Order: sequence, then C-alpha cells, then structure tokens
Amino acid sequence: MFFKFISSILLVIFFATYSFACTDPQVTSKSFTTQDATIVAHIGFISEFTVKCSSGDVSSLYAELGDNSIVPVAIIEKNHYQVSWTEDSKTARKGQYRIKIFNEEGYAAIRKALRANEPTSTVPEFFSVIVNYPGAYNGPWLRSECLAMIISVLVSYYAISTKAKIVS
Amino acid sequence: MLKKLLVVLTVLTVGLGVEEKSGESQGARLLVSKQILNRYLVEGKDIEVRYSIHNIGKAPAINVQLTDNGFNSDAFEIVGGHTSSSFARIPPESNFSHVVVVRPNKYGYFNFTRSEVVYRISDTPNAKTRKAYSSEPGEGGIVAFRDFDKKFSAHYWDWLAFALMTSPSLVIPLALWYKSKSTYEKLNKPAKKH
Repeated sequence: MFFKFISSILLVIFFATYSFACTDPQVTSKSFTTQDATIVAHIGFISEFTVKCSSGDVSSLYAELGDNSIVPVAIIEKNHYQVSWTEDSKTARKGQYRIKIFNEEGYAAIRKALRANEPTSTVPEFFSVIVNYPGAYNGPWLRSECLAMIISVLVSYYAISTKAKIVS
Repeated sequence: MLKKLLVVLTVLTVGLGVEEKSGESQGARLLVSKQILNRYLVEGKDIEVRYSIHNIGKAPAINVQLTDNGFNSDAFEIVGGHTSSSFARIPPESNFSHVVVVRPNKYGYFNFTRSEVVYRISDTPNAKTRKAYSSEPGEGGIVAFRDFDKKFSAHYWDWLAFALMTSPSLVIPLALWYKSKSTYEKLNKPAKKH
C-alpha cells in the first residue's frame, strides 16, 4: 500500500515536471564533419547544439536522420546536445543536411504515424539543425607523377621536332 | 601494419549480471560496439570512433551514461563530439550510433580500450542499474605524420626541385644553340636583301 502511494507521488512529480514543456527554444548549433577522406572510410557527421528555452525545460530529444531513422539525442550537459552519424565517404553528398529534432510529444506522434503507416513528414518538428558538409579531400586531383610525365613529354616533343626541322 | 583495417565488427555483449529473476530478463539490454573507422592511423589526423548502441531488450534503457576514458588529454585532442554523454531513453529494439573524432598528438602503438555504459533496465521507479562494457578495438599503430606524408602526399615540391635540377642540362644547350642560330640568321639576312 505504502509502495503504491510512493509510486503515485512519483508519477505526479513526473507529470508535473513534464507539463512545463520548453517554449520558444533558441538554438545555437555548430557542426563538424571529417575533412580528410584519404585516411577514413566513412565520413563522420557531428552536430552539437545548445537549447535555451524562454520558459520550461527540454524533455528528451530525438533526431530524424537522412535515412528517416529516429535516434535519441545525446545529452552532453544541461541544454547541450550532440547528434552524430556516419556515412560512406563514396555515397555522402556534399551540402547542407537538415536534421529535424523532436521532443517527447513529437516522438510519440511519429511512433503513432509509423504504426498507422502514415508519412512522418507531416509531424511538426520541435526545431531543426543544419549540418554543413563541404566535401572531403580525396587525394590530389592530378597526381604529380602524371604532371611530371606530361611536362617531360612536351619538352622532348619540342626538342625532337626542332631537331627534325634542322636536319631537313 | 599500415594497411591494417581497424574496423572491428565484433559486437560484444556485456550484460554482466546473471539474470536470476524472470522479470529482469524483460528489461533493457544494451550491446555496445566501439569501432575505429580509419584506414590509417596518422599522428595529427582525424581518428573516427563510432559507438554503435543496440537495445535488444523488451524495455527502454533509461538514463544511459556512455563514458570512454580511453583517450587521455595529453595523447589525444578531441576535435568533434564528446567522449562522455548520456541518453535519456533508448527505446527497445532500436539501434543508433554516437561518433567522436580525436586527433593523436603522438605516434606509436596505442591500445584502444573499451568504453563503459551504465543504464537503468526499465522505466519503472525501482528498476535495476546495469553496467556494461563495449567491445575493444584493440591495439593500433599510429604512424608518424612524416612517414605518412612521404608515402601519400602529392610530392609537388619534390618534383619542382627535380625540374629545377634537370633544367640546366636542357636550358643551357638550348640557349647556346639559339644564340648561334640567331647570329647565323643575322649574317644571312643582309645577303638576302641584295
């Protein structure tokens, strides 16, 4: 009996904290992507962001990645979060990636949409962050050996053609 | 050793506690694999570490703390992500990855050790806390940047030096020939006019 009483109090506290949901979130984000693809097989995408609410607290966050998978967002410290994933360096496209972030309610709505076989794109996101991938270095565009060979061929062509002109 | 591919695809389960109660087997169960995604490990260049976390249990894992103390600050600089993070809730039968990018300050052999994960096995208030460990990528040789550069850089400066060194043997005879050619042409020119 006593245990039930305690658990009901805990539940009340639980819902009371959740009722103060974050309103008007101010998000500042920075992103990191691997720049050198000569030594890694996968490009790592990391987005770090801080959320400031005008009132209330942030509930647990979830992110929708490019392959439509929903992943939990890592909490680094209070109001500081990280979303990260990897893509094959051959298939990763350059440009901006928009990552939708959902709060607890949004996540529940997505789960509901998935159960009903409805598209999840209609579920409004809490906010979104941008990860910019400018591309990675895949080695020199023209190998220096090739360049040296082209120059030597040009020089020898000039020499041989001039010699041929003189002899004739 | 250089070409040693360090992607270790072993997934090590570590639920150390023996599940005695039947209720406990219904709880969350996390498998964590720690992988190094590099082809080469090079001093001063990125090393990508990926933690793949799978919840194979029937309940969500609550308050998951993922900590990796393997990268100490005097040997590694963390350039992307955080080695210590937590997740409020990992739903059952789901998987995702957490990525950290570090740069080694030194070269030599380094033992990539396991990371640690602590979580509550369900969202009931009296749920047990479980501690687990990830797989170990093992030892990897970090190559000195000079050696890597010698092998893989574009060598533009080397070729430029080579071109400069070989140019006298080509340019001097060409200049001499051109000089004599132009003097003979000058001599010939007045004769042509008359």
